[in-house]
This record gives sequence, C-alpha cells and structure tokens, in this order.
Amino acid sequence: MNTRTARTDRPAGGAAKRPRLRLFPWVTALAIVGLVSLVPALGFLSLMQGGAGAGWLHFTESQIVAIRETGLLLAGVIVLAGSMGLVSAWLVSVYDFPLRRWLETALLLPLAFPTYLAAFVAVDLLDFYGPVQALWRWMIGAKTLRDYSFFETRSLAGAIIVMALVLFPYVYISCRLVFSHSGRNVIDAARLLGARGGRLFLAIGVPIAWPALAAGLALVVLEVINDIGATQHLGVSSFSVAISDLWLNRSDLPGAARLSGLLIIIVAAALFLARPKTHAHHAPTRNIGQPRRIRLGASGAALALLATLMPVLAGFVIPTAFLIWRAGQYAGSQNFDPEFLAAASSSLVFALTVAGAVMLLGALLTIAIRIAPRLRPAARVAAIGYAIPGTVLVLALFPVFRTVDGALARIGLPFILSGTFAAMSFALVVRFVGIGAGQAGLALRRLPASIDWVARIHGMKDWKLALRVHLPAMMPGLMLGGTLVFIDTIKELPATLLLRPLNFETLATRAYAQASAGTFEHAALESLGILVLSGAAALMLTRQS
Amino acid sequence: MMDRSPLQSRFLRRALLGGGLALAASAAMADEVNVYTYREPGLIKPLFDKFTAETGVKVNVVFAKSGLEERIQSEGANSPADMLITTGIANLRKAVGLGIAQPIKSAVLEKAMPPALRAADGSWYALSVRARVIYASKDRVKDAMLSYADLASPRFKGRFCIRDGRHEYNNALFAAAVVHWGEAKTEEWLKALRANLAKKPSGGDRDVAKDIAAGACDVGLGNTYYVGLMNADAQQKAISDQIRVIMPSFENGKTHVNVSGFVIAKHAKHKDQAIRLAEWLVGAEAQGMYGRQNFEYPVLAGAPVEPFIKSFGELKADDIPLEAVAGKAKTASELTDKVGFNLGPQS
Repeated sequence: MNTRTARTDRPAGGAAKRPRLRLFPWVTALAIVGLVSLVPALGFLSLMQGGAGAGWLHFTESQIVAIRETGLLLAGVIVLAGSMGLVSAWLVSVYDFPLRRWLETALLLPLAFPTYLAAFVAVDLLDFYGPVQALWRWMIGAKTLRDYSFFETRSLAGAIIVMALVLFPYVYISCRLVFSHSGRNVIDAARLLGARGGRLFLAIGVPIAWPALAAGLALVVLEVINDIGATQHLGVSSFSVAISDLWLNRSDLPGAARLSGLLIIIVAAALFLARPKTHAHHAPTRNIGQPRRIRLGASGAALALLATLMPVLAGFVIPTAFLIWRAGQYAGSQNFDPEFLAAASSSLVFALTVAGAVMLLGALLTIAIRIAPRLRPAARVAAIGYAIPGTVLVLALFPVFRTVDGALARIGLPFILSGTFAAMSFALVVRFVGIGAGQAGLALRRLPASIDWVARIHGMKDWKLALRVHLPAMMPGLMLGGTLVFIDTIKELPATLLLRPLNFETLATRAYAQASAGTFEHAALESLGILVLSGAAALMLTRQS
Repeated sequence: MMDRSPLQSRFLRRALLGGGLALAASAAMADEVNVYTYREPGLIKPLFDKFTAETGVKVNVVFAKSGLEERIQSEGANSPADMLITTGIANLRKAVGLGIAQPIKSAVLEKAMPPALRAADGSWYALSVRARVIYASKDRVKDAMLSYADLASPRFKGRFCIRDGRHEYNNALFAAAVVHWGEAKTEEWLKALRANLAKKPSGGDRDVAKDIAAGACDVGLGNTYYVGLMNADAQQKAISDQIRVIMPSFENGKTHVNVSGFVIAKHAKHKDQAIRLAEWLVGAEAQGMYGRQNFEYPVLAGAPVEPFIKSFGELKADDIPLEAVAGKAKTASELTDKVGFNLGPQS
C-alpha cells in the first residue's frame, strides 16, 4: 500500500518543486508519536533492566510450551475467525436472502463480548451443570460424566472457538466495507462477465478482500495475545500466563518485561510480513447507486442464512439469553445495587473520553501524514501500544508517571498521576490510538492526492485543506475507529483495573471482581450492561457504513 | 454528597475543582482511610461498610488482581495508599521486600493472633486463614484420611483435578512442599500428581468441585471456603453436597494454610485510621463476618469457626513459617514448569 500512495502523492515527472519542509505536520506527528510510543517505550526499557538476567533467548520449558500453545491458539482463531468474518461479509454483501438486512447488523454484535466474559459464559453454559449437558443427559438417560462424554470447553479447542466467536466481527467489519463499497465495481464487473458462486468468491472476493482480511486479523491476533482471563480459565498455557508467572511467582519483573518485549517483536514481525500488498485493481472506485444483490434460490438462501445466522446465535444471542436467565436467577437473592448505575455511567464517560482523545490524535496524525507523506511510518509506530499486553503496559507507565511526578514536585506541585482519571485514560489512549489513526488513514487514502494539488494550486492553505477537505473525507474512518475504541474501552480490563482512582468502578471492573471470586453469575447484570453499551456502539457502526 | 449523581461525585470533583477547593475537601475528609486490595470487593465491602457505620471513618477502595505493590512504589511519597490488603503471604512478602510497607506496633494486633500469623517486626499481619484441602467425592472416595503425599498414589491415576499449577494458591502449596520435603522429593510428587490428572489444570477451585460432582474426577485440591460458599449458594448447593472435605497433612500431621493479610503503606497519610481499621478487622465482630460471609478461619485466637467449616474437622494449621513458604515460591514455580504440570495428564 505504501508504494502506491507514495507514488501518487508526488507530482508526476518529478519536475515539480518539492514542497518545503512544513513545520506543522512534523511537529504534530512527532509530538503524538513521542507521547503515545516513545514515552511508554522508555518506561518499557527501564522495566527490562536488572533481574535474573537469564538472557533474552533462554526459554524455560513452560515458555516453550507457551509459545507452542499460543501459536496453536492463534492459528486456530485466525482460521476460524478469518473464515467466519470473510464468508459472512461476502454473503450479506453479494447475495440476498431472508433476514439479510438484520444479519448485516447483527453480525457485529458478538464484538460486544469481552473474551474473558465469553469464556466464563461458555464454561457455565456447556459444563456438566449447564443446561446443554442437562438436556443431553435427559435425552440419553445418563447420570454422571462416567456415562457419556461431552465436548470439553476448558481446552485449546474450546478457547479457539470461544475467542473466534467473539472476535470474528473485526474481520467482518473490514471485509464488508470492501465488498459493499470500495470493491463493489470489481465484483459487479466480474458478475457481468459471468463469474458465479464459488468462483466469484475465490477468484474475486478473496483477493480484493485480502488487505481488509489482514487488517481485521491483525486486530484479532492482538486481542488473543493480550488476553489472560479467558485463556487461563480455559486452561490454555498462553504467553500472557507465562509472563505473569515470571512476574508474580518468580519475582522477575525484568524477565517478564523481556519476554513480552520478545512477544512484541514476534508480533510486529508477523504483522509486517502479513501486511497487505496492494495491487492496481484495488484502486478505490466510486460506485453508483445501490448494489444489486444476487437473489438466491431456496437451498442457496437456506445455506447462506445458516452460515450467517450461526455466528450470531453462538457469538451473541445464546450467551446473552443465558446471561439474562442467570441474572434472573440471582435477581431475587440480592437487591438492585445503586452502584450499578454509577458504574455504568463511569464506563460510558470513560469510554467516550478515550474514544474522543483517540479520534483527536488520530485525526491530527493522519492529516500530518497527508500533508507530509514522508511521515507515513509514524502511523505504524504510534500503533505499538496495542501490541503490549495491558498489564505490562501499565507497569511500563509507572516509571514514566514517577518521573513526571518528580518533576511536578520540584516545581511545587505535589501531585501523583497514577490513580487519576487522566492517567488511566492516557494508558488506554496509548493502547488504542493505533486503531483510530489506522482507520482514519485508510479512509483518507481513498481521497485522490490530486485533490490536494488542485486545492493548493487555487491557493488553499494547509489548515484550510485539512479542515475543509481532509477532515470530512476521513470522518467515516475516524468514526469507525472511535467506535471500535469505545467498545474496546468498555471491555478493557488490566489497565483500567490497575490504574483507576479509589472508589472508581466501571461495569468491567465490577464484573471482573465477581468473576475472579468464582461467581461471575452474580455480575450478570454488569455483564449485560457491558453488552448493552458496546452492543449499542456496534449497531452505530452499521449506521456509519 | 450521597445524593449527587455518580457522574458529579466521581468525575467532576476530580476534574473540575481547583486546587483550593481540593485542599479544603481533603481537610474535610480526614476521617478516611485509603485501601488498595487484592481481596474482591464482594467480601470486604460489607466489612468496610460496617466499620464505617461504627466509626464514621470512610474507607476508599481500589481492587486489582496484580501490580498494586508496583503502583504504590511508583506513587512514592505522595501515594494515597494507607493500607494494602493481600490474598496470600507472597504479596505481603513482596510488599515488604519492595520497601513500601512500614512496621507497626499494636498491642491489639499482637494480642489477637499468634506470632506465626504476623511478621516478627510488625511489617505485616494476617486477617484471615484458609486451608488448602482435598475435595473428595462422597460416593467414590471412602478414605477417612488422606495426606498430600497420598494424592500422588497410583490409585488416583486419572482421578485427580486441580486449577492451574501456577495460580498463587497452588504455588504456595507447592512451595510449602519444598520447605517440607526439599526440591527432589517435591519434584517427584508433582510428577506423580501430574500423572494422576484427569484433565488439564484449568478453571477455578469451584470448577474442581464441579468436576468431582460431575464424575470427571474423584479427588482435587481447593481452598476450604469455596465449599462453604457453594453450600450457601442455592444454585450450587447440590454440587457441594457431593463433596467431602478431607484435611490433608504433611508428615508433621498439619495442613497447609495461607493467609490474607495487610501491610501499612510506608507513606500512609492516615496511618492512625489504617491501624484502627486493622484492629477492627481482627476484632470479634469482623472475624465473625469473615467466617459467616466467606467461610474463612479467624486469626483471632479463641474466635469461633463457622459451623459448616467446623464440620470439616479440626484444622491443625501447618506451623512452618509462612515467610519460608513465600521464599520458595520461585522454586515451586520452576518445578511446576519442569514436570510440565500444566500440560495435563501424560498421553
């Protein structure tokens, strides 16, 4: 993608005068990157100092196991979430079948489930005492697990399915954008030329969706790697569990930091290698009018309905119904807690703050890059926070906060950053700014660079160009990024949990407190609150696109 | 203040009020104590509410799962933390090791509990005691007594369940085994335990109980209070009804225990109130609540044990020093790795 845009950004022939180095874009971009990448990176480096010093490449057996299990988990989730997201996006964009319009929206809803919550619900739903096995025992007349065998949810396979079911919408969102917008004309042309069914999907659909698929899967991969609650509950010896074992049981924080540093390098390398290579025919085109969908016959429609309905049922409807039922079971035993509403409004304000800040920084960074294309790598560097496991990120920010606190104290402001709303929000902005900047950048790239030249030829100043042309053009991407960040913030745990002010509870922290005591069902109400807030945001995503 | 919308009280006060007002506010709230805690709010909140009702001292709380020691350390001299409440000896020792705790002298605390449950210099004290015991199927396990070593016996092959071996509860038990038996014997024991596993270590202690009740395995290891909590939960009583608790022991005839406890932060601004809270927490009323609400053993000498927990039999708490156990956490973690404990039963 770099090569194409870099080429088109420059006036043809190379005869035109290179624009002078502009101060605004460089200062803005470097300030943002410094704030969200350099600052945590310095903290991270200081975290790695000292410790047992076992060396970077010395792995214990369990770490090798962790690498293998994380690898298998990732492979499984990539295949499952990738195919679910890709196929469902294809079906709802290209074909017409019953419930299609509803499904187009509903396929986003599983995103509302935090992975740890999905894991707890899945185990509760599918274990021996859950309704599924109870029904199965009743049907076959069994009494204990000795009489029959059943799928073990607490297993690698269970973890793959659970995580894929709630993470596939990342792939779905980005692929659907391609199928119903930018790639629309290519699909229509192929149809005119007679491509049908599987051939249309494999020869046209998959190649044009490839960059979007990779972008969606990158988010999935980072979510999986960051998870600790779900994998530990499901008995997967993931990398995050190994990191926390080093830190907590072996008191080796530097070692844990080095291990996560290695993880970041592996992930960054993998993402770099898998980055989409753009081909000429991906050049975005403007499609005119409503897309004409292929009307399916009865059997085709039934298959398409099944393929798109299943992920929605398994990833959202069934677990949510189960949660409501559980909430009802415990509703009688405890009074409605007024603090629930306080936590809900805290979640809302917090998520809006983080999403707003990410959108602001994302917009500034994207515009800076547009004006000075040589700054393009800045967008990638700014995204580094998403690759750092949440808890490690917070631990890396502590030394930073401490330094700032020290400086403040010297000028007579005895103040501490950690435990403030600002510090907590900052940590999440560091973590999620890449999403905002990434989506805004993708959107702005659809605007031909020639428009900028025309504007400049007519004497338009940079700031006016940014405000009147760039900002409106990237608004859809910015909103998409902001909404994703909103959902992620509602669900986020480790950084929120560890950095929050005294007495500050969000829905996620309350739900987690119960889950960690082994009684997540007591927090069914909080869990439903998380689903309502992030589900509402997910629904907004469809409006936007 | 209670009538204010949560938005106002949580955010705006922090975000909008200027320095002068903030100063006035902090002066007005001298009767408060700030607690960082690893104990879940579900348990400690009723205790704090009661304390506030009786004393008028407000308790401000932040709960997290890990990293609070690092947070206090980073906050330095200005840290608002007065007290850190932990779920195990390992965190207490870590807090002391990082230099974020201060030793305190309190006749009330010293009188309340035996020396084994507090640091010699007063840098940490226990608040409650839990034992890590055997959960056994009432139907399928007839042994009246089992030791920790017995769990490794080949007759339990394919019949043993446990949560992640790296979880702090298991790590502490394995560390206690290292103290009792030394590394070599503990490694053999862990290897045999792994060979006896019915399934991969996963879930929590409640899931171990569920697995036993469901017939997936016959014996498991778990903390005492989970059985009490399940017994008190209408939805889960049927599960705990099928579980028999056996008090296992090491060769000294005693059962592995761990403590939840606290340290007073080095830079505590409300030290007096924090000590007052600590002394209240080891008083008869609070200790009774620990038993009734969370089914833990009291630290207060002579305080009654909750009747259901008492029905498990008398607890003979292991008397090896808890700090020695915490000192072997790293070894225990390494051995858990070495035998591939979390890989589950050998195939």
